[in-house]
Amino acid sequence: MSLLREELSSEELVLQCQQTLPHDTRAFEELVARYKNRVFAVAYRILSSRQDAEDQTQEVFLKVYRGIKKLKDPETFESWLYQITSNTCLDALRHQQRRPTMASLSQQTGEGDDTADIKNTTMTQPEIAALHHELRWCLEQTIHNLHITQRMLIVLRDIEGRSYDDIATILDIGLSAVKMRIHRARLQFQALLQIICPDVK
Amino acid sequence: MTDRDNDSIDALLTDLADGLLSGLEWEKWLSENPDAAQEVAIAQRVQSLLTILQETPFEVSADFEGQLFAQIYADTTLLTLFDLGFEGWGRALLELFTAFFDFLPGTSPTSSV
Repeated sequence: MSLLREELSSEELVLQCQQTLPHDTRAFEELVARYKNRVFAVAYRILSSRQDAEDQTQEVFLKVYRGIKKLKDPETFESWLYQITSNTCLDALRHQQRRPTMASLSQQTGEGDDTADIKNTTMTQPEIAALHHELRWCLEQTIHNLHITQRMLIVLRDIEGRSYDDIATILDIGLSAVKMRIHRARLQFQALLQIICPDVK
Repeated sequence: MTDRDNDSIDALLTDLADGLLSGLEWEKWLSENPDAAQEVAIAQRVQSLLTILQETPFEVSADFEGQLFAQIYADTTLLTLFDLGFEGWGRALLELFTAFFDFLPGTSPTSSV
């Protein structure tokens, strides 16, 4: 009996896709299930619009479907996926030729914040939740106001936690350039944060 | 100091902010270079603040997969018509059609929800 697809590694799923697509899409379906929210998160951070992010997430997985058979090394799947995501979102931004409208994800989805683990004896839970929500809004606004390249770097490194080597591959630039640009992006982030939300200390 | 020197120092400061470079030697260097030390502190603070956004739950809409696989099956059906032996040509033609229909208002295959 074959292993359940949920138990397979991403590399194994990629290999299965390469052997079974287009006739059998089950391995690809598992890859989509595994990565759709991560791709969507990156797209949302870059595009700042839920609808645009979802449209581009669809586009990303269409590209993955069309290109996965040509991926030489299945171990590089994640980097390849992030590369497609960043290129697709950049193309979408260029196509739009406009600054996207910023709105917080929680406002758009109606979801609340997860602040249950915050401990503070001098404030009530609603006060803590409100502060946390406000801080999140400040951070999202600041990211939105970064230059697109800096936004991409901050999202990939400080939110998605990708390695510097990985980011160098995704953005097709040298390792030293990645580190240099990330440092400048962080300084720019701090400068913008002080303008957008001067009360954040 | 040249631009190249500045680039190298900025890359170095990222390594220090991320803890990839550490130890007494670097602590001494930072104490002798307060501007650099301040930038490292800012970078670490930004990193720390952004961890808050790592907790944000993101979920695509419930019909995401339905829409995606509708497009994929349409793609596959057209490619089959073009014959998989000429998949490259088929795909090129398909993308040409897609680009043409995208150009027309209100016909984008990715719109909706």
